[in-house]
Amino acid sequence: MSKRDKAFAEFAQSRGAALHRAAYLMVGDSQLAQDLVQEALTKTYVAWPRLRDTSRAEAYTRKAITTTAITWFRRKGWNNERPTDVLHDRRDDGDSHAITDRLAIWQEVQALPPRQRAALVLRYYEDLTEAQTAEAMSCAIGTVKSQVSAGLRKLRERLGNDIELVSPEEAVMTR
Amino acid sequence: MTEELKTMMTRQADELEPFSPDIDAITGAGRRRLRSRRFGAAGAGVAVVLAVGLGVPQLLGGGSPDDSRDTNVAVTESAPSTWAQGSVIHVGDATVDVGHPVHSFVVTTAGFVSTDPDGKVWSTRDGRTEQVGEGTPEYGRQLVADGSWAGWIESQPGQPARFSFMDQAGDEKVEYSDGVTPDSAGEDSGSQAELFALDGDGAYLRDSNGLVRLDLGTRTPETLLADPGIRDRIDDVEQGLVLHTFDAEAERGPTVASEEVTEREPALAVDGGDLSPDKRFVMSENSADSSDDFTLIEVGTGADLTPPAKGDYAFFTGYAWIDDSSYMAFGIKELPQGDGTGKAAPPMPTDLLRCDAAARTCDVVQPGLDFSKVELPVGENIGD
Repeated sequence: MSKRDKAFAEFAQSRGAALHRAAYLMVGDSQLAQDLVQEALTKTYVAWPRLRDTSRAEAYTRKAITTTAITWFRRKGWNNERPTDVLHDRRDDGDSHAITDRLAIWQEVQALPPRQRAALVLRYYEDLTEAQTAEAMSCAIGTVKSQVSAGLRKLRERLGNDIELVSPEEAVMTR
Repeated sequence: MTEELKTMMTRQADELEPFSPDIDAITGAGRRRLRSRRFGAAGAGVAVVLAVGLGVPQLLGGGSPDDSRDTNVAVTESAPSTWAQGSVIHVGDATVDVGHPVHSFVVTTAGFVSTDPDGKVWSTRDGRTEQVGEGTPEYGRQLVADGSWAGWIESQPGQPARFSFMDQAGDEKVEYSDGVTPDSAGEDSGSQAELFALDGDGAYLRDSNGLVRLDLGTRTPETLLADPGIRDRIDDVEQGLVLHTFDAEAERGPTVASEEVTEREPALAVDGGDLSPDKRFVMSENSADSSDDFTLIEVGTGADLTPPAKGDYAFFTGYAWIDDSSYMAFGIKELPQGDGTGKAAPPMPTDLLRCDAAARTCDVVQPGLDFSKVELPVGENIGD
């Protein structure tokens, strides 16, 4: 195995699972997420000589996952928002309450348009800054703000106000 | 706050089954993608009338150059199958031992130019092999060729890259450097030196100025697209028509065939590729939508002329044009499943095929090579 391949293999093996989790949140399907990670890592392998360190490689791979996911959805006609017919009622019955909430949020996140979904995953799961999210999505910071805002607004509309979904900026304003 | 959203995402992700990427599949696909971007630069193909002195001992040192040339094996369109294994280059049933392990090689109208694993560059002509360069980049494409010319990049640690060219027919050599561009191992990815293609007297390359055409006759560089950080690539050039691809970072950009490298449309249904000598066709290992998806189209009409033989193999791609409408391809019947450890791959029986673009037909001309042991005349090590 060449030095290049060895360094790449170490990176891919150490970060593969984490990348898969983020990809899964973006596409909502484990197998599709695996395909997405394989494709993104292939792009990273091609670019490896100019990436040189793992931090740049991870940022590059994350960007590849995000843009490839959005492209796949666009090309395969999956980009349409998928409205759900079920309005989610909250019931005060302990643990099942939390599970119901989680599944409801998951269902509604998956129904969002791909760019809004990607923005929410990058901001709130990956904990990226707006600038980092913009880099990963190949868009302007303003676009990230609008995508996040639109995504949260739709979730509130679908889930009701009793599930607290407020962006950090909105939280500051309401305090 | 968004704690519920975060919690939901974390718990959903935590419920996933553990996933480990298939490293062998990734590196294999990555290598093929790199190669397919470079097939176009490897040369006009293997169809040229070639007199190379295929290791016939009695010819060495005897007779005039013209005499030896007359008695050398002439490789014509009837014997386009060219591959290397170890130090031996095979041309149909004939062979030449170049005296070093062939790491990569190209075919010119006068002979072969090859590299060894140490990065040295060798010229083989009229039965003799001599070193003509050193310091080729460790990875990726090492050699390009067109007609009797071959080219490569030389670099030494801490030194700017130097583009080197030689006319194997006339022994003319040209060297060019802007004095600042690092080689492909440079930190600044956008300004690394890269040699894309040769087309007649023109060498197409990237240096610190951007995309450049170097006139090998006058040794005059012409900047085609001034952008020191540009990562767009030129895939091939034939008779002034430039096949080029916009690099959109992680997102693939369109591949376009145009006289000007600034054109961004119309997008072709391929990702990179190799133009036929008459620039009518382009073939690529990757379609615009999918990797490892050999596609051959007519440039002018966009007609898909991918041969049905593609379906006979687990992996199939064209790699060199023989003439304006014929090309060489290879097909691998069955791809071994990697175990993720990167260990040496098992044998991969591979057929070399001669195909007709317009008729969409292919015939096996060399069956049963082991893909893991051979090198094809694409200017790049297939195993890297």
